[in-house]
Amino acid sequence: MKTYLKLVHLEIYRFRLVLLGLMAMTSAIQLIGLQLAMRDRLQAIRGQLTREGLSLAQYAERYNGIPLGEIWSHRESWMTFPIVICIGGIGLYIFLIWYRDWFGRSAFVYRLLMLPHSRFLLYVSKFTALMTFVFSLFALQIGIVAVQMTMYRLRMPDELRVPRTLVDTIRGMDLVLFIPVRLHEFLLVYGFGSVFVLLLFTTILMERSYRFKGLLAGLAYTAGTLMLVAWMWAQAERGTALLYPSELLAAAIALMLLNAALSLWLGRWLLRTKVAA
Amino acid sequence: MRRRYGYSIGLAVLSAAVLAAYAGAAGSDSNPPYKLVTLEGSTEAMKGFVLEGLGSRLSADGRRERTGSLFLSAPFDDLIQPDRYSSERNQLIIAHRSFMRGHRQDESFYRDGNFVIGADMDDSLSSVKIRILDLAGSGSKEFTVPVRANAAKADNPLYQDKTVLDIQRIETRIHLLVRGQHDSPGNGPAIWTFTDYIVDKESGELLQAEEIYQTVPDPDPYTETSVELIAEVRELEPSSSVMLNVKTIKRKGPDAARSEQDLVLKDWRIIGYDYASGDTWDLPKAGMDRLKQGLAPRLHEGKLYAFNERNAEPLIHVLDTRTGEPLAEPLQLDRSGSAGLRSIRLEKGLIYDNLILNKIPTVVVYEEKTRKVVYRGAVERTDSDSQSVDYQYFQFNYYGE
Repeated sequence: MKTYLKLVHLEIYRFRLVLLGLMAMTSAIQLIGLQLAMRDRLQAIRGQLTREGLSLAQYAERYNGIPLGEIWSHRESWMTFPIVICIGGIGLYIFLIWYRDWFGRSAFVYRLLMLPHSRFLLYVSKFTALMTFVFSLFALQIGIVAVQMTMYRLRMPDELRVPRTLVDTIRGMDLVLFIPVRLHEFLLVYGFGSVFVLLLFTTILMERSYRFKGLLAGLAYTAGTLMLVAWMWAQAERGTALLYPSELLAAAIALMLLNAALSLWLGRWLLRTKVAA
Repeated sequence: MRRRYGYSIGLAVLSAAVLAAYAGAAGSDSNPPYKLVTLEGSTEAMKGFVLEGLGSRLSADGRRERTGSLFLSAPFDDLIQPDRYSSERNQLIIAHRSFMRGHRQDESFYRDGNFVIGADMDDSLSSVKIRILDLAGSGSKEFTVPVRANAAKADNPLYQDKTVLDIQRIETRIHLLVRGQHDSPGNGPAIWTFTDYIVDKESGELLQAEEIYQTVPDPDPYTETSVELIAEVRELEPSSSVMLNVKTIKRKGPDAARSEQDLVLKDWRIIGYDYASGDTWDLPKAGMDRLKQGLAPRLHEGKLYAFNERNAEPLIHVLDTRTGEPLAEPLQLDRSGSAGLRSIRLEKGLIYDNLILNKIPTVVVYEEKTRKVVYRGAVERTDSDSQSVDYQYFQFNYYGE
């Protein structure tokens, strides 16, 4: 356990600067984006008040208040761009977390593979570290929305403010895709995401074990699984499949669990018997 | 130790704390801060109905739940998202899961006390698959009924489509009302046909194909005819007749936009069709004059209803489908606080009026026969910190009992 935690720490520590960079970039862009969006919206409203000779109260009566989510949507790209960059960064690091051990300075993998513990700990610690990055960014995003709500309260006139809880605010934004408010949605998004990471880990280890042939096999395995799940999703959406959508969902979950188990077993086996420095 | 691993421990603990707090907040937020409060009458009339708005689904019996926020899980619901008039098939999905397997989205369904019948046009548009479930217990059977190729098919039109719009059972015969649409030969506007295919329920043999109506292309390129089916508003219910709303509209010229000001109504007919006798008739002038007051026609329980939901104070006219004469004095509904934000639904002798009344989303249910209000309910906010319901439109949907 101690070795596992040390390995997790090692991985987190190695990524710390990139992670802090991603966090700083996300916070800065999203907060500045909201500030600009509120400024534009309020300027537009003031212009309209002057043109139509309305007071704020009359405006609110006629057009309703302006919820934070609506302001957010005016500069949507400012809000989603950092998220896309974070997803891209973490996605890229799924590969780098392994390959930097081989191709980084002083071929660190020699030392890792020689540790007097199960090599599978390497696999699990890298996975844990990646999940920690993902959930720390998830937590940061919640924190940013809380700060944005404070900015909204301070800046938006009382008459135009639409009171909402944090959860309700998130529910009203497209952001809810990445930080779901429903448990089953959270489990699906992050469960499927986790299995995807395991599939890529397997692909990487197959490449390390069998080089080009392994890479092809791993990619085919990953793509095949994703296509199967996407097909089930499309079948459920079309509504003409023999299986009911709830049955298709159960099948998709079973498939992903099976693949997770297979990936873990294959990863363990490859690390124990095939992967060499 | 703690100092050495401080970064990792800090990151993990802080993230876990935020996530735990968020999970707690999301968990305690499962009920929307709104409810549907009964102001008058009994909730019996509201059984199976819900109001949906501001991210909530509210029932008159006090049930309330959140809606929306579904992405990955959105398509994995066995029930169809209810809309105004096609949600009754959800009851079929629940009651006859095996019969509906793979056929939830079939084009048309029918149900009476003895049979459930579903029909769907095949992809080649040459036959209809009919499926019959005998509720008395003798299981289900399937027929494939060829539907004749119309003349235009021989001309190989670029575009054609066929849809089963309505199914009825009259004794041992099944009637399939099929709408066909295809290009006209000279690149003119599309030609619409409405045909009643009569099929023997026992053998699946096609007995007769009765063309009810076909549009005739107008030589004037700026004139178009549209045909809309007026079927029983409750999709599954038996109805001895249907009606067609046939409008011929002329655009003012080639550059005229398709806005309402640039369109002139050239001709308007409502054609009735009786499944049992095969009779067709035109709604007489008395009925058409009423409709020309800007009212939309609806068919329910063999009567023609005419009203305009967009009027602030709509009148519900009930007309005889053959004579067009009023069957009763029109029913005056409440004045809406927001014109356009209103929906009216007819069901089992009741009229459901979903409107904004004194700023508040309200449902009023009238008994058609007595004109009495049997239910009146309004949406209320349960948490003063949440968004106000003033002038918010809540959709009125049928979810099934």
